[in-house]
Amino acid sequence: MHRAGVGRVLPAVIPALFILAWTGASTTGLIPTYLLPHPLEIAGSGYTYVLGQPGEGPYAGRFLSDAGASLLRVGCGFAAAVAAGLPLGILSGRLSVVHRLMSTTVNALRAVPGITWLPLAMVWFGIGMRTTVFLVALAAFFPVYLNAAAGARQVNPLWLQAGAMMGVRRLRGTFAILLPGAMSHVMTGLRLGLGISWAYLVLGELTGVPNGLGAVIMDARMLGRIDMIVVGIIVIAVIGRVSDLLLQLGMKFCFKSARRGA
Amino acid sequence: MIFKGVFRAAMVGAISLLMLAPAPAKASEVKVGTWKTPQTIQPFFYERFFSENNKVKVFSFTNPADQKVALLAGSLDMCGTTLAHAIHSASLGQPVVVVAALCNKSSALVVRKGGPVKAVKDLKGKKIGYVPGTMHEILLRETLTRHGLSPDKDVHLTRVDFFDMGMALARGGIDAFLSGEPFPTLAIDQGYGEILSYPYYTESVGAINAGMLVKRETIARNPGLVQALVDAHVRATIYLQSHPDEWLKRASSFGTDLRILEKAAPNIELAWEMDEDFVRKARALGERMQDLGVIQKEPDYSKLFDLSFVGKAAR
Amino acid sequence: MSPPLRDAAQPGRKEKGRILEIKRLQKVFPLNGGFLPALDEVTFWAESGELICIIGRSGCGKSTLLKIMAGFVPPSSGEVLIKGKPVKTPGPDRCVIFQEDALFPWLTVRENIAFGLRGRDQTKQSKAAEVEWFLELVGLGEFGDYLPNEISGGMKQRVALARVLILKPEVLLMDEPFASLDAQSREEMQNLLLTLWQELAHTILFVTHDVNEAVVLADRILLMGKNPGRIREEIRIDLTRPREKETGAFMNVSRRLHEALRD
Repeated sequence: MHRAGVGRVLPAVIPALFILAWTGASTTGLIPTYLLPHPLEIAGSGYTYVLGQPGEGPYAGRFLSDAGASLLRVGCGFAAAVAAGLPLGILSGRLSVVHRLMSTTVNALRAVPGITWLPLAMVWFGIGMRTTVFLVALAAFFPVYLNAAAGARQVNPLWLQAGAMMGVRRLRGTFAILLPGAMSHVMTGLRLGLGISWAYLVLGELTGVPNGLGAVIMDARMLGRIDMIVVGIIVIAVIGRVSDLLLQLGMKFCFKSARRGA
Repeated sequence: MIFKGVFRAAMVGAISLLMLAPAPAKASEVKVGTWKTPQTIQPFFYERFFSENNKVKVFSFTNPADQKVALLAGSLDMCGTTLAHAIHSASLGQPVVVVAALCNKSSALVVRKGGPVKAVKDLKGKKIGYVPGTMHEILLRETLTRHGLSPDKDVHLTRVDFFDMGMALARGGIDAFLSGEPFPTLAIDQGYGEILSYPYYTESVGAINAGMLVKRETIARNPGLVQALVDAHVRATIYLQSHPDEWLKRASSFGTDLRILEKAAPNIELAWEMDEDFVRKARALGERMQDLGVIQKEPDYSKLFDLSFVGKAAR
Repeated sequence: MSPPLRDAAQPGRKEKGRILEIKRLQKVFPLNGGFLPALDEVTFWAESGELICIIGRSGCGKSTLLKIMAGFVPPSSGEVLIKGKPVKTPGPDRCVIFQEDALFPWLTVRENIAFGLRGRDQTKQSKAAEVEWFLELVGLGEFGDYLPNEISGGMKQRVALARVLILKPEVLLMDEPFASLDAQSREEMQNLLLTLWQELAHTILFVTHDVNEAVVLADRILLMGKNPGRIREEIRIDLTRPREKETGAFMNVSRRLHEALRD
C-alpha cells in the first residue's frame, strides 16, 4: 500500500525539485531574472501565449496558429518519411539487393547532422514550408527505415512459408504476415521518427516560414525573451508527447499486431 | 529513507544551480563580443591599443541578442549591440549601458535587378524578407510608412534569416530585403540585386546603427576597465578610419571577397562618437519602436546612454 | 463432434488412387566448390487416404524431401505430382505442420485458424462457424481467444493442425511435428492425429526419427538412408489400430526397423 503510493509520486519528484530550485533561485535573486525568468513569469507568458487575445502583446494568443502550422509541417514531413522509409526498409530487410543498394548511401547520409542540410535545402527548395518539410522528412527517414529493415529481417521465415502454403501470395503476404511480424520494430521506428521530427521542426522553422512553435523560440531568442523560449520548449515537449501517445493509440487501433505487442 | 534521498537530490540540484551563477572574470583577460562584419570590426583591434599586460579575447556572434545574454551572464565585459536592441533591453529593465557608438549607416534596401520594383511604392503587394525584432525591421517599417505603405497590410513581410535573404531574393522567394552590409553589396556583385534606397532619415533616426554595450554593474565596480575599453575602441576606430586598406584586408579575413568590401565601403561608417544629437536620434528610434508595439514603454535614455566615457577618451 | 459442414471436408474419400507421386527426385546442394547429393533418385507414391511415415537417421535428407514436396525448395531434377499434375510452388493442397512453432504470434488461436480463409468467397458467419468447428475438432473450444504465447506446445500444434485442416488439403506433410513435445503430450497428439485422420481421411506424410511413433501411426513406413539420401526399404504395417506398444507384433516391427536403421 505504502509502496504503491510512493511509486506513483516518484516520476514527479525530479521535475518538482527542479521547479522548486528554480523558483528559489529567482525569488532570492541568486540568478537575476533577466537571465532566468521567475517560473511564475514564465507561467504568465505561457498563459497569454495560449489563451490570450491576439493584440494584447507580441505573442498573445498565437498558440493555436503556431501549433497548427507546426503540426502541419511535422505531419507532412513525418508522413513523407514513413511513405519512403517503411516500404524501403521492409524491402531492404528481405531483399539483399535492395539492402546492398541502399546501405552505403543511407549510412553515410545518416552521419550528416541535420543543420548542415539547411543551407542546401534553401537552395533547392527556397524559403517556405517545403524546406522545413524536407528537413523533417530527411531526419525522420532514418529511424523509420532502419527499424523497419531490422524488423523485416527478423521475421521468422516459417511464418512466410506457412503463409505461402496457405495460399497467401506475395503482396498480401507482405501486409498479412511481414508487416505484423515486424510490427514491434516498426513501432519503435515510427516513434523515434516522430520524436526526431519535432526536433528538426525547430531547425526547419529557423528561417523562411512566418510562424510555428520553433519560429517562436528562435524569434524569442533574438528579442531576449527567455520566458518565451521556455514556454516554447514546454509547449513543444507537451505536444510532442501527446503526438507520440496518439501515434501509439492510432497504430494499436489499426493493427492487431501493435495492440498485442507481438 | 526517502527523506535522505530527497535531501541529497536537493543538494545536487542546488549545487548545479550555483554553477550556473555568473563566474567571476579573470583578472587580466578582457572579453569582448561583436559580429564578424566590416562595420563591427573594431574589437578585433583593441588589443593593439591596450596596455601590455591585458589580453583582449574577441568572441564573434551572429546577432545582438546572444552577445547581450553573454554580457548579462558575465561571460563578456563588453559587447556590440544594435541601438534598437539596446533600447529593447533597457525597456525590459535589463541593466545595460551604451558607452560608445560602433557604426553608422551600413544598411540598404535591396530589390531584384531588372525587376518591376523601381521605387519604394512599387513594393506594394510584394514579399519582403525580414528578421522579427531587429533594427533592420524597424528601419524597413520606417521606410515603408514614409512612402505610404502599411507594413502589415500593403506588403507581405516574410521571415527570413539575414544569411538566407540573398538566396531568397535570387530565387524569387522574396522581392526585397533591408539588411546590413555586406549582403546588399553581395547581391549587386552577384548580379541579382540592386539598391533601391538607403534608410537614413536625418530628421528622425538618422544613420545611427550600432553601439558598444556594458553592464551597469561593470561601470559601478570597475569604471577604469570601461574607460580603458572605450579608449581602445576610439583609438581603434580612428586608426581603421585612416588605414582603410588594413581595415578591409582584415574584414576580408571573415570570408567576404576584398573586392566586394571595397565596393561596400562607401556605405559603411565606423564610429565612436556619441553626443546629444546621437541620443536624440536614439530617442526617435525608441519612439518608433513604441509606436510599432515592439516595446511597451520607453526606457530612461539618460540611464541607457553614458556619454562620459567617450567624452574622456584619450585619442 | 458436430457433423461436418461440407462433403469436401473429407477429400480423401472422393477418389481412390495415387494422390501423391514422387518421381526420381534429385537434390544437390553446392558445397565448398563441390556438390552435396542430398537426395538421389527418390521415387515413391502415396495412395489417397494413406498414412505414410518417413523415417531415417538425421542428415538423411527427409526434411529436404518434405520441403521439396511442399514446394518451398525446388528439386534439382525429378517431379512431384498431385493427382497427376506436377506442382512446383507451395499451396493449400499440400499443407505442412512444422516442427517448430509457426503460428502467427499476433493473432489469437481463432484468428490463426481463420487465416487461410482470407480472401475466400464466403460469408463472415459461415467462415466463423467453420473456424468454430475446427476449433472444437482439435479440442481447443475454450481457447479461441488466447494468444500463442499463452498456450502450451501441444496446444500450439493443435492450432497448427486446425489452421491447416480448415483448408481441406489433399496431402498433409508433417515434419517431426511432435518431436519437441514431452512424452505425454506426444502420445495425446498422436491419438488426436489418428482420430482426425480416421474422420477426415487425408493422405498424410509424416517424417519422424522416432521408430515407435512411426509404428504407432503408419500404414507404410519408408526408410531413408543417407549419403546419398534415398529410400532404402519399404515396410507395410497391417496391425489394427489402436496399436499397443507392448504387444509382440509391435515390438517385432520396432526391432526390425531399429536394425534397419543401424546399418
